[in-house]
Amino acid sequence: MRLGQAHMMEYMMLMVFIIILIFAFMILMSVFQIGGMRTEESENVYKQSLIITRFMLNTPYLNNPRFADGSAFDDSKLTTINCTELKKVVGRNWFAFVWIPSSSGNDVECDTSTYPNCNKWEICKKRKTRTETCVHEVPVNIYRKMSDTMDVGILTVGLYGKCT
Amino acid sequence: MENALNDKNIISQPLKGQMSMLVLVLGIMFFIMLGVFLFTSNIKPKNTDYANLYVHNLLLTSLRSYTGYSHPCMSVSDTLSCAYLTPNRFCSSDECFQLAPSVAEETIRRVLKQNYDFLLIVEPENWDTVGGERIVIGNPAIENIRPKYTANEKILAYGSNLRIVLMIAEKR
Repeated sequence: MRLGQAHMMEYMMLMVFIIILIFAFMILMSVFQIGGMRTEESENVYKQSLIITRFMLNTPYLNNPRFADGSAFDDSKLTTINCTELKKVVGRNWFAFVWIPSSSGNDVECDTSTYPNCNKWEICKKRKTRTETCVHEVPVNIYRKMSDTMDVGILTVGLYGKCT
Repeated sequence: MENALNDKNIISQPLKGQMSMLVLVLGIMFFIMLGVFLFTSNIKPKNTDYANLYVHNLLLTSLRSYTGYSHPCMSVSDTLSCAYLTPNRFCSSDECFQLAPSVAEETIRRVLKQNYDFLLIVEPENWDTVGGERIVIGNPAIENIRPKYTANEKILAYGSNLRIVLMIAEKR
C-alpha cells in the first residue's frame, strides 16, 4: 500500500512538472510571437519610410529633368511644392524636409518671400503631437536656378511609427 | 516462489525511478532545444538597404556638386578628373592635384553623418590589373573596417575612364 502511494506520488510529481514545463513553453512561445509581430511591424515602417525616400529621390515633382539619375532637386520646385499633392501619391503619416548645411548655422526657411536666399524647404511639415518617428536622411543635390549651380544638401524623410 | 517475486520487485524499483528521471531529462532537453531553435530563428541579419542608398547618394551628389571654381574644376568630379589626368593644371591659383583632396573632403564632410568616416579612391578603370597612380582621400583605415558600405561611380574622361570608390564606416 505504501509502495503504491509512493508510485502514485512519483507519477503525480512527474505530471505536475511536465504540465509546468508545457505552460512555461506556451508563455515563451507567446512572448516570441508578440516580439515577432512587433519586429514585423517596425520592419514594415522601416521599409515604407525607405519607399517614400526613394520616391522623393526620383519624383518629377521635385527633380530637375536634366539629371536622369534623380536626387537632384530643383529649388524652385521645392519652394512651390504642395504637400497634399504628394500625400495623394504616397499616403499620409510622413513628413519631409530638405536643407543645405550652412557654415553660419542659421537656417532660413524657403517660401516665395525668402527665395532664393534660403536654405531649408519643408516639403511636408512634421506634426507636433506624435513623437515616435522612423527617420531616414539621404544626401541630395539642389539645383539653384538663379545662380545655375549645383549645391549639396540633406533630404530627411520621416514616417510616424517605430522602426528597427 | 513468493521470495522470488519480492526479489523481482526490489530489482524493478530503481529501474522505474531511472526511467522517470530519463523521461524528465529528455522532456527538459526537448523544451530547451526548442527554445534555442525559436530564439535563433528569430534573429535576422541587419538590413543594409538604407546604408547602401545613403553611400550611393553621398557619392553621386558629392561628385555633381559645384566647387565655386571655374573650368576645369567646376564640379567635384571635374576637379578629381583634372587632378588625375592633368595634375599640374591650374584652377584659380591652385594646381588641380593640390585642390582635389580639399574640395572633395569639404563637400563630403558637409553632408556626411557625424558618426561616420569616409575613404574616397580615384583610380583608372582597370587599376587591379594594370596598376598605376591612385588618389586616396580620407581615412585609409576604413578599407579594413567591417561593416563598411561601398559605392562605385565612373567618370568618363578622354584617354582614361576613372573609377571612383567611396567607402564609409562608423567611427570607432
